[in-house]
Amino acid sequence: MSLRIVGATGRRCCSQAESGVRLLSLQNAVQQAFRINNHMSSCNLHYGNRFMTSMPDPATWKFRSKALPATVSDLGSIRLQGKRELVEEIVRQNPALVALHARLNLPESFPFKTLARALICRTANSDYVDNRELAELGSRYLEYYVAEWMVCTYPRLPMEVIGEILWAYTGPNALASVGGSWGVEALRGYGKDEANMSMVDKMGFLKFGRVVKKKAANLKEYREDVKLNSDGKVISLKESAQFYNDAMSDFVRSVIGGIHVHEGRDACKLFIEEHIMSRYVNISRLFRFVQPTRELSRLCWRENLQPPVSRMISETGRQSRSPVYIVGVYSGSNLLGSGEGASIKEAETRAAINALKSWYLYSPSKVMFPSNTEGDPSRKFVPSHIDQGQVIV
Amino acid sequence: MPINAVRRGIAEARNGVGAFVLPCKRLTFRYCNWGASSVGMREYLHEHLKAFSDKNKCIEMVVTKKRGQPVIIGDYMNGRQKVICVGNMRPHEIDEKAKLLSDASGNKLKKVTQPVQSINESPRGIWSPFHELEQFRHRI
Repeated sequence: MSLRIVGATGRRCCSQAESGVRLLSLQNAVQQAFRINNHMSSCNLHYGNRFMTSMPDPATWKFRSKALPATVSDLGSIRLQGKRELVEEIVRQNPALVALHARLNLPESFPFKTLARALICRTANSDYVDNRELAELGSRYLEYYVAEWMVCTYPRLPMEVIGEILWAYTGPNALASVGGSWGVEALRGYGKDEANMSMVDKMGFLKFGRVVKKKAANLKEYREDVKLNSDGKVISLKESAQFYNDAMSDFVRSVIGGIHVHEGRDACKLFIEEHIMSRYVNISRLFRFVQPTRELSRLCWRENLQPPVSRMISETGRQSRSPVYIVGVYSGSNLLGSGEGASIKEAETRAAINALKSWYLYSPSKVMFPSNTEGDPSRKFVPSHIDQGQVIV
Repeated sequence: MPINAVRRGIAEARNGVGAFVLPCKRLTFRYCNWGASSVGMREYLHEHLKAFSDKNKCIEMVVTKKRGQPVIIGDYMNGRQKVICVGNMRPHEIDEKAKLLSDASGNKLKKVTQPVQSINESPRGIWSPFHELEQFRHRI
């Protein structure tokens, strides 16, 4: 067989003699996968939309096959790339990992080896399977549920604010904070103490390393931190590791992905609600308006309301050092918003801003999420309010 | 005019509103094999630590040996450490100290003056002299 088994470092990871044995066992794995998994619906994962309809010929079979995994927990086995699977009994020996499992209240059906796998980033260059696939899956569900909550609860939010809320809940800094609050500590692969640690000892730590920029036949080029002086000459060149925030957020996403695979969709949604959505963002403070009075005027015109007029509600201290003006913006006799200020102009601006915020932060009294109807055919889908969009000035 | 959005930081954690994650992540029990002050600690490690660990599955328990006084060190989510020397204590007292550390949040001890601490604004609003009715407004 002219099959070359390529390890993570780009070099052959087993000798010629071993490769024959390895090939046979991989062949067996593929054949078994097809015997068990003839009906695609039993499998939670499928690689793209391509299903292999006939038994592959081992002579032409490439290592990175698109074969379906044999079982649900066979995550990413289709892209193992010469990496080893973690063993549950060995991984359970790490106390930090066991504590983490209990801390997150993960059920018995969530294997420890998935949690251990979530802690291994691809940049760690480990012999074991990494969290890239799990992180990909988890990030989709995480961003979906957060976005769904946001768009259904506040249907009139402008796009820029939606982007900022998503960053605040699911951005790298936020997820890194979540991971840290779960008690996970990081370990980069090349410290002096880490060289002496056994495989079991390392299991409880988040592992990440240098970011590969370019991969040629047998070489890898790593991303570098380049420091230039004022002339533009390079004064320091250091291979930079993956950012801690990115590595930790990959871990959090992997846990979410793992929960979806092992526990199901509802458990995944609940986990996201409890750990991510329970955090607090003051959405009102994320707005920054330019010419709010003009925007409010256009909004009233669009909504066929009477044009906004600002009127003084009360004032005190005019001609003194510290006046206070309360101005209200009225559409006819309806008060749209009021604001206070040290000058009339400031109060008027604040009033317009408050009026606009009360428009954009509208929330229906009964919020209906599309995902509530998942898996329950008796629940009737009630469409949420969809706004016509931001005011165009 | 497009609305600009301002980045005001990440979402604030509210431990317990959704899921509760115990802030104490690790307890290190440091004992000395020779000293008499560690007698109680050694007995605690033999007899009582297993039960304590089973009750607190989410805390990683580490036992280390070092010459000197026996000590329990708690590591917390906020990155701080709390250290309690348990020299010459009996096992039941050591258990109390371990429980103290496991219940702690890791924050610096602070005198609490108000019964309620919250990040939410008051539900009834703060009184403003300017929003009173005309006839009730204060006149200088």
